[in-house]
Amino acid sequence: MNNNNNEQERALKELMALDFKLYDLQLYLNTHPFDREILEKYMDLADEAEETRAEYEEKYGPLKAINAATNTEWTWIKNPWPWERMGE
Amino acid sequence: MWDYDKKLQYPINIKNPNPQMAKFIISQYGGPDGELAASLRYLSQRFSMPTEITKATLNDIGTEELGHLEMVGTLVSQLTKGVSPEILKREGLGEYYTDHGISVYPQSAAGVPFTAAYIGVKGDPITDLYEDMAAEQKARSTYEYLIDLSDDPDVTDVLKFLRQREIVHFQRFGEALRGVQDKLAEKKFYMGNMPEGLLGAMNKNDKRDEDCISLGESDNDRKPGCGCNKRNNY
Repeated sequence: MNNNNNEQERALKELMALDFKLYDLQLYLNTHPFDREILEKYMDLADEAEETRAEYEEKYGPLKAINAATNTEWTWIKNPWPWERMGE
Repeated sequence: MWDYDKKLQYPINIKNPNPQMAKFIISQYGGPDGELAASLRYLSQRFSMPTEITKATLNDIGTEELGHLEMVGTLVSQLTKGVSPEILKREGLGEYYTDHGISVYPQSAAGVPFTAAYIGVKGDPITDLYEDMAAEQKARSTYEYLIDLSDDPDVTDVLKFLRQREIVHFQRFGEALRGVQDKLAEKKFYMGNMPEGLLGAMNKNDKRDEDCISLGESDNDRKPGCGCNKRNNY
């Protein structure tokens, strides 16, 4: 695994951690829809995740098909897919 | 609908193949307490959930379970990657290889194919939410047994994450269940408090169509023969 892959792996893990925190809060908010402290936390994390996602996709390619069209190539199909080992 | 995000919920990077462990872990893919059963159970039950909280909870936990199905499939796939048929046979996967090659097929550790008989969808939120809480505990136990069987920290780390999620889901289902029970309690008649006394209260059941609760957590909520088919609108 070269440095570039290491850097990509680190960036992806950062986004995964943020998205996971958001999903966990989503489940919490479903049963506590008026918890203002957590609502505020959710909004802050959502902003951070959006920025982190945009930076990742800019550098390493799309995570959603909607961002996969370039002038010359449909990049959605590119490896690796999530079930494949990182760095392969 | 679902919108695919090209990443796992939690990173998986298995360096050492271990086909025997794959054979055990596949039970959480298509076994009785696995992630396929979990996602189908919750996503099917949600259609008859009565409250905003129960609908959202079933929808979103069912969705997360689809992500866990992907993670368990990933574990199985990486644990068997590049392993020769000879070694698969030696490690107890000769039968599996015969039917499925190195693909990931929804079956239990003992080789029983997935069946919808693993899930309950009863159309009653109390019944279904109790089933869901039990299902989360069964999945937690299974992950703990798998952790006992694992000697690879890369695998154990992922199993621990999945185990932890079962505990969180159990908590959320419990909160959703208590919400439904509170709603039912608000509408409950307390016979002893009726001015006419017990007999009057019982006779009154004939006229209590509007308050007849068809979601029933006890016999008092649904009198036989009260003729009420109405669902309470929460």
